[in-house]
Amino acid sequence: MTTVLGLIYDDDTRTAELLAPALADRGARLLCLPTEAFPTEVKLHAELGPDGYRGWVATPDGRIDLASIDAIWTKRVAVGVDIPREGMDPTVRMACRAESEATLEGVLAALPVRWVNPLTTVLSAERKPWQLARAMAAGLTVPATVLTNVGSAAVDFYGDHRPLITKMMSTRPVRASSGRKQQLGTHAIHDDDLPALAEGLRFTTTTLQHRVAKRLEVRASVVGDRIFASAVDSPSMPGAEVDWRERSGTLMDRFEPIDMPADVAHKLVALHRDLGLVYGGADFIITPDDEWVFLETNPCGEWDWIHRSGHDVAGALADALVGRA
Amino acid sequence: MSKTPFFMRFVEKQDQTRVPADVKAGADDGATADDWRKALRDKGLETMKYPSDGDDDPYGYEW
Repeated sequence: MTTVLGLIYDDDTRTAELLAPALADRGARLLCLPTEAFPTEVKLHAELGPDGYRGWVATPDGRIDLASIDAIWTKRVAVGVDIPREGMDPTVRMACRAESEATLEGVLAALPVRWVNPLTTVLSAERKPWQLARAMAAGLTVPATVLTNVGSAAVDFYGDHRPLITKMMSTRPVRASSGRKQQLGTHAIHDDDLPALAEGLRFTTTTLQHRVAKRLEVRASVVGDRIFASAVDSPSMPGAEVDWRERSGTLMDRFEPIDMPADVAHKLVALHRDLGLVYGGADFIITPDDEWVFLETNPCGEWDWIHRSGHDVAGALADALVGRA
Repeated sequence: MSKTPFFMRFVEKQDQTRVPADVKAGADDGATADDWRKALRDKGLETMKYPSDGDDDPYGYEW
């Protein structure tokens, strides 16, 4: 039986529960490795030999011989999250996490298996500035964009390309003054933000883009040369005009399948091939003039709600993992 | 010159306009993925928990 190892974290069981039966239909099994529980609960033993690594990994689903793994599904990797903080020096804890991460990722990368997506390419493909450049090179429409830590230049860009939005190129959660942590979404910039823009780039960069007029927002799950796109009318939802995720609890259930223009689809597939990705969760804005504007692609992006909107994303991923795609 | 990064302006704004992002899937007695979103809507809550890339300090940068 074809064995697929799933690298997951936290609530990735949502997608694992969709993928597992799709794999079973193709004669394959999914064994999940909760990466946050390595090395505290999940165990690895790997011995290097002339044919690569021999050994096993023990997960909640059971013990898996490394030689029996045919494919690896990279959903999310968060090695060592479960290592306790109490009673451990922070530098020691970080070293434990870094060592465990380097070991697990390195051993798995050495296995002769199919990947969706290869760990080595996820790290590079998540560099969004690179994505934007490659998307433009692929012929996709991309908003006017500047990335800078020069306050005066940022203000000039505002003058030339407003209205603008700002977004992060990384996904680190940040703690607000309330104590709550959150990932920063996309936000519109207004005239009263300019003084902070001019002065607030001493310790960081900022990414500014022309705020594209929006008719619909699209999430397109790309699997090889197949695209599963669904759209939502986010502009009509109060509070979600700039970023649909502001009202994700409601809008997630309102996505409906949409056909992507053939030329856009061709370019999107080419982009993912260029980035080394088998799978990507790509975001677009459709303008009132029906232009498809590329925003980003997420190598580990969620797809369960796109699947539930009426696409067989799980089946496409399963095909890729068992080598049918 | 300000030591406050520009993006913090929007962190504070976002924090004030949305509910706590600490409601995780399955928090309500093992509810399903659909149930937890419905539970949020029933409470009049929304979450920014875009389940795409990040989560609470997955890489342990925060001591």
